[in-house]
Amino acid sequence: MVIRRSTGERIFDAFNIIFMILLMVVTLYPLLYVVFASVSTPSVLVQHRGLLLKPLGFETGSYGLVFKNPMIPKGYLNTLFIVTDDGYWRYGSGTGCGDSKVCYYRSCYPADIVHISIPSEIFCKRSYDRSYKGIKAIWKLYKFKQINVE
Amino acid sequence: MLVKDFKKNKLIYLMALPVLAYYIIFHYGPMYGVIIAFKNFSPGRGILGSSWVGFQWFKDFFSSYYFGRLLRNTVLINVLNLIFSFPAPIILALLLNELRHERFKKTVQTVSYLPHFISLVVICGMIHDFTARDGIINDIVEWFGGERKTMLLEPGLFRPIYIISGIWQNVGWDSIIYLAALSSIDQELYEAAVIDGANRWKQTLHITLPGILPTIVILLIMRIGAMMNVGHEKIILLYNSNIYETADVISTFVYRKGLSQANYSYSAAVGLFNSIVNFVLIILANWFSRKATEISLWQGEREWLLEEALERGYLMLLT
Repeated sequence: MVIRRSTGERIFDAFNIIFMILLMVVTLYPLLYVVFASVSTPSVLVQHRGLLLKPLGFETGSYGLVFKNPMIPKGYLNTLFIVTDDGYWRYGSGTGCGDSKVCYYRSCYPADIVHISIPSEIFCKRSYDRSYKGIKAIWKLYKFKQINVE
Repeated sequence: MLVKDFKKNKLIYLMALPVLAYYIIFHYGPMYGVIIAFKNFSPGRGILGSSWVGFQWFKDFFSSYYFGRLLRNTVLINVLNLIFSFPAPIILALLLNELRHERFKKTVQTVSYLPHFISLVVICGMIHDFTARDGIINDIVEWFGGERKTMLLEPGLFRPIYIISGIWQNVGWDSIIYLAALSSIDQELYEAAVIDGANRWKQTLHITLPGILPTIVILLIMRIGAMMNVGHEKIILLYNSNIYETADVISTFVYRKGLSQANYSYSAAVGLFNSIVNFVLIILANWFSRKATEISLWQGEREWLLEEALERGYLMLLT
């Protein structure tokens, strides 16, 4: 098939490519921002305003804090331990697989109550508590700016 | 008829047995627990031992001061989702389909899947950071002459934040199913259209869109069947008491009321109410779609979708 493109099609193609590039930037930048922020020097980062195009200084201390926190390995173990259910399917593509199980136990449908309150009570409740705390700890990593300020 | 079929396909029925057992044991079995919606459940006395209270919890919920607000927020967020989040992956898939450069297309696709794999907790942490008073979005707002504010404290901004971040996270991933549908369209149709003088817009309109219409309709039916559900994890991670006015939905209310205050029966009653509304909606949507487009759930070749529909929709409560 011979591809002959009209002016209109050319313009469309150009805009399509521009749109896709913008989409990639919008998708990637927030992730890059987090990466940059995580290795920046906290004291410099806190004072910084505006876009972050490269790490401000370089410091991996925040990662050290994370790995020192005993809740993180615990949280991971619990994640591995309870990722057997189909929580992923129940919540569809809206959630990542990692935390859906925990959310499942936090959710409010009667079945959860059945799950939690019948024989498996001890198992479910404890692991739920622990993973929840683990996730809280990860959450804190992303709030580390505030923690460091304190 | 059934017996004859059974005899003929014995082994196939045998293969289906584990699936059947799975559904009976894990999905239909626990359903009896729903009776606690009509009981005053206390863990000590168990499900069967608790005393009956009839429709008390339902009455409590419907006459609750917050009922109107919760219903409005839940439905509004879902309607906005339907208007903005639902078409977004379709549009993305159509645009991706128009890209000529294979490698570029693959790169865009891969990049757009990325946010889907990040845990929701982390995403919400990022949203908190970016919408904070000194956050990056406020920098942009200020650049355009706007005023800095902590966005998650503004009731009016919650819905846009929720919807836009949802699109950002899932548009790429959700477009996969449409891209799969696109790839199954017969290429000869396009060649014939070109010979007939159709330009690319006409091709999109008359070949591509009709080609993926069944997929769109099925997903739409299932979306409507989840009309009363909002991903409460995300809202719980984002909201605060300042924006309950727009952010508090039925499921978050039930979470606070039911699990935090250990009022299991109440939350079961609200969950049951939700599921019944969802059930009615999915049946209505399916009926309407069958009349209007002859596409519906429970069609032989789309049985794989049925399972997802069951999972996502009205079995939400029962599983």
